[in-house]
Amino acid sequence: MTMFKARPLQEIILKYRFGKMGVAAVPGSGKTHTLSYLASLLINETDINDDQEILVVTLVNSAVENFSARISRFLIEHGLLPHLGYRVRTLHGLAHDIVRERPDLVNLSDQFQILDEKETIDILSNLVSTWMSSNMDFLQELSIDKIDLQMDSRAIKYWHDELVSIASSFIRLSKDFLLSPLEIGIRIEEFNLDEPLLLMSQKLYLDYQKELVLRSAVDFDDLIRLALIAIRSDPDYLKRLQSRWPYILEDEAQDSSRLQEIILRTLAGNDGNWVRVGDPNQAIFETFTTANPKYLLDFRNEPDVRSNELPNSGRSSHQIIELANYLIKWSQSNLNPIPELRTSLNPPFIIPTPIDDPQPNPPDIPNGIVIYDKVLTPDEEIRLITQSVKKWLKNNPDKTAAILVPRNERGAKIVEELKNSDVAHFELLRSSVSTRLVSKKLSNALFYLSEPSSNRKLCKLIETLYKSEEEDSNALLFSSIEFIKKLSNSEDFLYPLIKDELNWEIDALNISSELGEYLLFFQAQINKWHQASILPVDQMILIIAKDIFTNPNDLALAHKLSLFSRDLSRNNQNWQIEDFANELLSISNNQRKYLGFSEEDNGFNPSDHKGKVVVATVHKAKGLEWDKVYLMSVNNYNYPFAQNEDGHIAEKWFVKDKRNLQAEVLQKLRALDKKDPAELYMQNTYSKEKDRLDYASERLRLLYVGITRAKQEVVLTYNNGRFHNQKKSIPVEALSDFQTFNEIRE
Amino acid sequence: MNESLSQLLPSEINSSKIFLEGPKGAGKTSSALKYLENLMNSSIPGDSILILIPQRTLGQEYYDFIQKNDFPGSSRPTIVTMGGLARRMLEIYWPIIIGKAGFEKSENKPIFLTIETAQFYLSKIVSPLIEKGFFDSVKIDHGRLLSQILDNLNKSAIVGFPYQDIAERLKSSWVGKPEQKIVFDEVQTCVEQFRILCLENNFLDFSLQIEVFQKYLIKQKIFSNNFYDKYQHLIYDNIEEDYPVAHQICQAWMQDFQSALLIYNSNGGHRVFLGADPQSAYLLKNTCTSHIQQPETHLISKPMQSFQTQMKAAINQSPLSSVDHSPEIYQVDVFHNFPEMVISVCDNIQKLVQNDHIRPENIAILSPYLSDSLRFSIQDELAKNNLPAHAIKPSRNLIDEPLIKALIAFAKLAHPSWGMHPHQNNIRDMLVLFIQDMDMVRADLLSRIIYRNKNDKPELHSFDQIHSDMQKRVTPLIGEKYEKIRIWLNAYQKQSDLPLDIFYSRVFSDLFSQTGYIFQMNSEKSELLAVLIESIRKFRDAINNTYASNWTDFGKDYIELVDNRLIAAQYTQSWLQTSEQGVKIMPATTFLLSNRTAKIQFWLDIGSMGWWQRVNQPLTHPYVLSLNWQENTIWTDTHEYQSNQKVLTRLVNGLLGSCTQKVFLCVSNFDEHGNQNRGPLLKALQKVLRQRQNFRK
Repeated sequence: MTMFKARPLQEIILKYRFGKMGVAAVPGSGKTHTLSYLASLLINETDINDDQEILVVTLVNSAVENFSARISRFLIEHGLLPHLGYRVRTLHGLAHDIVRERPDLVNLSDQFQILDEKETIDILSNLVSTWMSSNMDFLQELSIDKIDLQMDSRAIKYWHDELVSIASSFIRLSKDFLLSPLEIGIRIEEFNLDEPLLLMSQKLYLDYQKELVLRSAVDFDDLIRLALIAIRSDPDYLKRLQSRWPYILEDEAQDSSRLQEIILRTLAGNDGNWVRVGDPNQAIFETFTTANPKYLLDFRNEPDVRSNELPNSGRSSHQIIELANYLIKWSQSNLNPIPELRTSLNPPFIIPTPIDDPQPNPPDIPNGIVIYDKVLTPDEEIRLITQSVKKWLKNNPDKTAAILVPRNERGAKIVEELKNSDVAHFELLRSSVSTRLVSKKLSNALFYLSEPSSNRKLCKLIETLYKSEEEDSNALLFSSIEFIKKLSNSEDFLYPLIKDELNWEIDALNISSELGEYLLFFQAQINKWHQASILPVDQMILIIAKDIFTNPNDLALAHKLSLFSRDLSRNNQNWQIEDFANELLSISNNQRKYLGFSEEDNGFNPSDHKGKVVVATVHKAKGLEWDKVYLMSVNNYNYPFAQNEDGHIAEKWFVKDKRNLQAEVLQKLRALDKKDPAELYMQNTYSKEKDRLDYASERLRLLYVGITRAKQEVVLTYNNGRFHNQKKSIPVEALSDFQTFNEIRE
Repeated sequence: MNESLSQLLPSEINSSKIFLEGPKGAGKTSSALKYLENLMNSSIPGDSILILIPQRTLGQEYYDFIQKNDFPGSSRPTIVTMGGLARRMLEIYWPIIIGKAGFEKSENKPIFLTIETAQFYLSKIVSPLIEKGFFDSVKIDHGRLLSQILDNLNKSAIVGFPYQDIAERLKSSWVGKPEQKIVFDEVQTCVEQFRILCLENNFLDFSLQIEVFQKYLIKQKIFSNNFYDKYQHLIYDNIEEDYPVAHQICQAWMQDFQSALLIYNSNGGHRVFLGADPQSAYLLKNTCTSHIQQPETHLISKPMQSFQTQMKAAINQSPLSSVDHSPEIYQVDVFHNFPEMVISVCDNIQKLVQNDHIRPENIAILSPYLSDSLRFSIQDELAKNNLPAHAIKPSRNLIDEPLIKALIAFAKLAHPSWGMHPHQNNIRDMLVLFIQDMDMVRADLLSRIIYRNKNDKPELHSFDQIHSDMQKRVTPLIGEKYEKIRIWLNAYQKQSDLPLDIFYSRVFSDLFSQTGYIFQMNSEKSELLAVLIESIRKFRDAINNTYASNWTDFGKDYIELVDNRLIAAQYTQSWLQTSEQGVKIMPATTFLLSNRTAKIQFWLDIGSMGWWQRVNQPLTHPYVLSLNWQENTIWTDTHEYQSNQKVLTRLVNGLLGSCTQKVFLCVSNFDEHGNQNRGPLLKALQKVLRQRQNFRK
């Protein structure tokens, strides 16, 4: 083991060769590195053959390339060929592989499409609008008294969004339970249920699935469900896959969903080799998905599972580790006012790395932890952080920093302020910067081609495509644009009636030869794109892309976008160029997640962004680390603690009695799944409190994740919200007390 | 000519029944041509010779031979597929079988359905059923749904089992969830309703042509007498690519032919998924009096043969022999992204053409799938270096051709009663394409001003009505050409609708072949229009009765078919294949099916599972509906795996067997869609490479 100096507890993991093993790893314990190295050892030291692979399953796309690159590097160091003998996939990627290889088992044609989140929400949105149009009276009954839906279009919009959200969660959970809309319908009839929201959800699910059939498409949740059906349908197929993947290494297992566990358990088989690594304290996807850390906790307690821990972490300074450990201790203690939340965080505690460790903890520094105590308005909080970051970056150009926000909307606001204050920053959002830039350029080109007689769109296009980041080198470009603007009729520039008229014009206006060449270049290029604009959309995109991109990753993305547009055109035969431009715009505006080929798409490295502050949601920051972390908006709205005065995002203000409709419907669905008459028929079986506790529990872990992203400095701030009625979150209050105590002690 | 075959004297030739067997490149077809020549030299009239082939493209060498030898038309041998023969004979003998085969309109002529017209009629049956919830559990587009239902019927006919058994066969082999079996019952309902429709209307789709021919016609004495009177000699090439019923018919005929030469390609069978059955073909050997083997291929070099053997062994997990392959026969190139691979392949081709003087037509770019984006990327990249390229993609649609799209929009504009009104962008594209010297900016300006679609009434305004400044911008010359189109359309709309093909002929002669418009002196574009007209005409011939001269509905239905992408390869293929010049770009299977060779082959994205995996068809099954499938056996993954292994072995064997100089094996880390693939072909290559490394060590 020359290439990886393992710690003693890591050594134990690396000695694994067969059976089942569950590992609880603290933040920064090097679990990705350990798991990657273990994969390389299994390839090198066990007798797996050329047709077999170590299957590594991880949570997010950005981790896939990270794993893949590390394993490849280790393989080369072992003297083996890279890229072979293993496969790294997210659960969706794995499900896609399984379904794509035997689509016949699940009645799919081999050209099935996978709809992304935006497309599925668009479908649901249309279905909900139709449903609402004939159910306004029912919604009026559910609304608070002061709302009159006849008059209040804003309230209708709120209801629309809420119903889309309810339907979306209902469909997702139904698919997790492997319940078809028909099956749910049968059970509703069987139990003679007459619950309008349940009936609505079932109907929307039914209509939604019909829409997918019309498009020959599946959604992401279908993929997972279908993968399980495929391997359950044909035992021979399962056997072949089991033979192909003799080892399964699962990362981030705390975020495993029920189906993920079933699929991997099925693939591993009773006597299979399955390693699950995760940190239950970092389980932060329960609200959005059907993930649950209990699967990992239960797995570790199974009799044939070896249970290990990776408690050492060299990521953070001692004082930050102490803060994070205190959060665990506090949450488990009597100081935590809510007994039900005393099991949200659990040991192992983080232990600093031993002496002589290759990854020693960074030293403590004065003011390494700041829990800002002053009440701020939301705007003040943004301004305060912007100023602090600006100053810090100036003094620490070689260090990394991040602002972590609870939600994307808050991120957009801080980014706006950073821009206004000239603070170098980088947004880590749904799609990568390069993906958004490529989409933006292509969408602008398409917008122009939808109206080629528009001089304004032409000038905008030229500016978008050719404007350099270095302002100084744009003089020629702006002169060209000015020239085109002055012509007012773009045909005079692009298609002068007399041959060489443009040349004469250039001569007559005494334009420099450099600018003249520039103009002629634009003319030739745009003329070529005009010719391309009559071709099918995929071919048009490819032609434009070849002219405007040179980077191979951008070209690959453009190729992928061309296929994406082609699929869209198949489902929308009447679409015009402008419609495709709008779809590309939705990627560039970050309304739609789209995976490109850049480094950022396949693995984000914070140290590539020294001197800039990265803005990300806490969820997106998982697995990453920075020297300094600003954890924003830690108030009782974003980090509620099951208190009445807390903000509860799921309890909508416009719903009578502030009911949590989504939770109510999902509770009924769970009861239908279990066919549990007690839960189905008893009055008031739904408990709003339970949902509040579940949510608070997850947000507590989110706070823990946020704190443990910091290496040397962490700053926590909060604001009093839009109505100035929010306050510091209870766990943050506890951390403040701890910090104050420490300061006094020192 | 092969030794044994050449030893046959003319007198023996015309009385022998020979089974000639050998791999591709062994010279079998050359021998057959020599044999044909001998037959004809021994005063046997050409028109007594029947040359059977499984698909038309496989008869090319025979067509060329006959062409070259300039046989008078009347004494030319007949070159035909079994399906083609069935159709010809049914046309002739229709009166004697109509009553026997269950057709209802005994007084009417047969109507032979093309794939499009069959899909059209089937669609009329399927669409209302879909409304009722049929096929809800299947994710498949409408065109494929129709073609797979028809495929089931065709399989029953060419394999020779009753079409009533289709669902039972599919259901009894189904391994998936039992509730999914319902789709097979739904298929059965559609198939049976379609068959009733055909019998009621004297429609003969492909399945009925084969069924009626085999079950009724060939058993008629009058037919056999006339048939054997006309044909005494049979040459049947590539029998392994034909289907069992064709073999059964041939078997029945063998004793009555004076002579026969049956040619079997021992490493063929590439059309298995289309119903070909090499096993039943091989049984025909028993009907022959002599058996000749030509085991040696002369087409590819020894090193290539050795590489071929290694790859086959690697795919089948057999031990590899110790060989150090010469880098001259194959090269492995690895890329990160798909476009990088495409660019590099095109660069390599440029070098091969320029430096090594390889002719572009001797180069083939092969991939498991050929998306339009890929085809276009390659053609565009090659065009940069003025390299001609020729893509063959069986499923390309008419509507993807911009000119056809514009012509379709023009027809919609001319027929407002269809209620299919074009968008302003379509009008703009039409103007650019139809009017010479029209540019996109002026076309956009003009279309925005003159085209109105208010209250669902599309209208083109007169150029004279627009503002003079705008007239100046668009130019009076263009205005004049536009006005001619508008006036023509107005005049046309005042009369009753013409059949769509005649409408287009009129558009061509009255308008667009005139000076200043697109088709004037542009043969390539005129040819495209001719393809469209031909397609409509055939469609009209087949479904004439349905419309009873209601040309409005006819035109609308045809245009809907094109819009819905149901008019595809069959008509377009002819023009796709007109040019043999340039680099060939095609799916690997298509390359093999067309029996081609290439000096240089580029295999794209060899990590793709597409090299191994069969095209999935949720409503049918090529193996379960084959002759050799044992009923009530469940099709499991073991069968799937084994059949895919066979397909890959056959594919690699066939491709390398037709690569006379060098193969470039291209690996792309990410495929077109951004997926990472490491399929069995890549893994097999890895084994071969590792063996080579070990050998060198």
